[in-house]
Amino acid sequence: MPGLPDPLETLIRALLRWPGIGPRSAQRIAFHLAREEDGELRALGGLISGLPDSLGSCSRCSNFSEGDLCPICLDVRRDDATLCVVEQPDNLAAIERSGAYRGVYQVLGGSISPLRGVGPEDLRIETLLERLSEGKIRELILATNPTVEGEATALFIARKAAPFAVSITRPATGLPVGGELDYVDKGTLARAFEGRQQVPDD
Amino acid sequence: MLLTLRVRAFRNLALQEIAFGSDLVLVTGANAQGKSSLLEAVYQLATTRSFRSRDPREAITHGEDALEIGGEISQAGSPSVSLSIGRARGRGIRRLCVGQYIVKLEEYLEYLPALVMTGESTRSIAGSPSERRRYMDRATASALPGHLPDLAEYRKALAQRNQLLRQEGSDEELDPWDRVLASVGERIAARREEQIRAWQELLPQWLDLFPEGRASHLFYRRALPRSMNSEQGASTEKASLAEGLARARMSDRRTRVTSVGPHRDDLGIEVQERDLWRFGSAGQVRSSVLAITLAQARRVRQLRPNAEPVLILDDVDSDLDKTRFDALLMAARKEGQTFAATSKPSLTKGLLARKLSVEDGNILSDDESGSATGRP
Repeated sequence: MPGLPDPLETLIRALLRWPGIGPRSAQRIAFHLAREEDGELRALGGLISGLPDSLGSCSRCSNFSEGDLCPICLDVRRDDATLCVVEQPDNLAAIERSGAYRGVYQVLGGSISPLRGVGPEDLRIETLLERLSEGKIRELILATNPTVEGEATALFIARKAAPFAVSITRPATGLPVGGELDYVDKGTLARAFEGRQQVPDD
Repeated sequence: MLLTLRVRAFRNLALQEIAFGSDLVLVTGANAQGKSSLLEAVYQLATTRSFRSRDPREAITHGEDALEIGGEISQAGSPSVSLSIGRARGRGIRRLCVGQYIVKLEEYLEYLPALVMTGESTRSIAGSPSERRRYMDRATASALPGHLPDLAEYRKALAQRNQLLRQEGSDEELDPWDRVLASVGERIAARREEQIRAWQELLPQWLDLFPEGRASHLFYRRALPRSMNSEQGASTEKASLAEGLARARMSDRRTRVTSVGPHRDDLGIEVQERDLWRFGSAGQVRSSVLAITLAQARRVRQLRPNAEPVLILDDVDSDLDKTRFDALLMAARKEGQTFAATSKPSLTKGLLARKLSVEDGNILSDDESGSATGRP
């Protein structure tokens, strides 16, 4: 943008690389920061620059973690016979927010994509298989994203996990709860119909 | 039905708003005056795509940053609604509106299904399997909008598999892509097959336009690995795509490209057991494509009773005499509001229609009432 001092301009350009931030939001955030007091800014800067030292990943599931193990892996009340595979910590956080799951996780770090040069060996699939070989896990839930890459990743893992004789499931794709049918997009609706289930009778 | 059209910075068309108000709109004018641009604007408004270029942004007038198309459509049993598209140069910025609301592509496409036929496309359909795939997918998606996301998914998975073939990935790595391709691919093929069967059944209605229609056989040709073709002859229709991919893998590895699947399948038509695309005369090909397109429009109406299609016929009259041209337009307007452009004004005589002529990007009314255009 013309007429902006260099530091602001550079900051806006840096913010633009963040997820979900468009030009307008980037400018709003930059101007907000510019009006902020010195102390606040330094505290925020400290938080950001300290991340590499303060935040690591869990040695078991690869979730973000402060210590060697993340709070979920440390929590003895979690069901460690059920393992849920996700692509990224964001996905894990979303499942946690739902409160519907009490098992443990494995974060893969992405999905298989030959076009982006990501093969199975670039994901934490070996780690996952090692955990399966310990013999404790009885159900494996493949919660990779419902994209072609996520689907292929799930199928790859399912094949690899078959020798361990665990139950392998994939979350249903379907209708959002509390919505009305006429507001659901067609793709979702078509999938939901394909994956329809018998209504149990009493 | 499309009642009005408003364009800004669209090719060479002047800023203007046109009222149609008829189920038949005839556009005349010398070449390069803007006839096709007018039809293209209608098609883009309906489908967000262009039938003249891959990239619809090419329609932005030279020297302008963004185009706008808007129009009012009437709907059976509900109040009329306005559609509009804004499209900017640069990073593919596009805004789709229904009424005053910005909507997603999927919802936008609910309103105005469109089928298009051009002199150019009837020629290229005969000559090119990929044109035929586009032709059947456009019509299939108009009838069954869920086809589009599947096509996009299939293209992605196909690109991934091809990349894996190029980098000589292991069988273990290829397997999951085969399965993803097979499941999306079967859905795509099933929809195409279903549509083609329906078109075939409808074809005999247009025997006056396509006399061979009664003896013709329209079918879906699946690309299969050579081994499967030779073993079972023509009766391989039930072979699954999963099996086809597995059998083709060895040779796919050599050629480094996926050789079976909907991206290689074809729309076939035979008249008395002869392949019409290869052995038909130009006239036969043209009339068969016209008749199939009418059948496509009928199918859209059958499957989507609330969304009447528009038919766009650009320069399809090159070897039609007045009688056949009239018959075509009469048949087309029964299937949906029809927009037809011709460079021969004599062809439009005696037809009850909204008649427009285009001169240097200005759209003029040929009706006795005078000017069709108003400044918006």
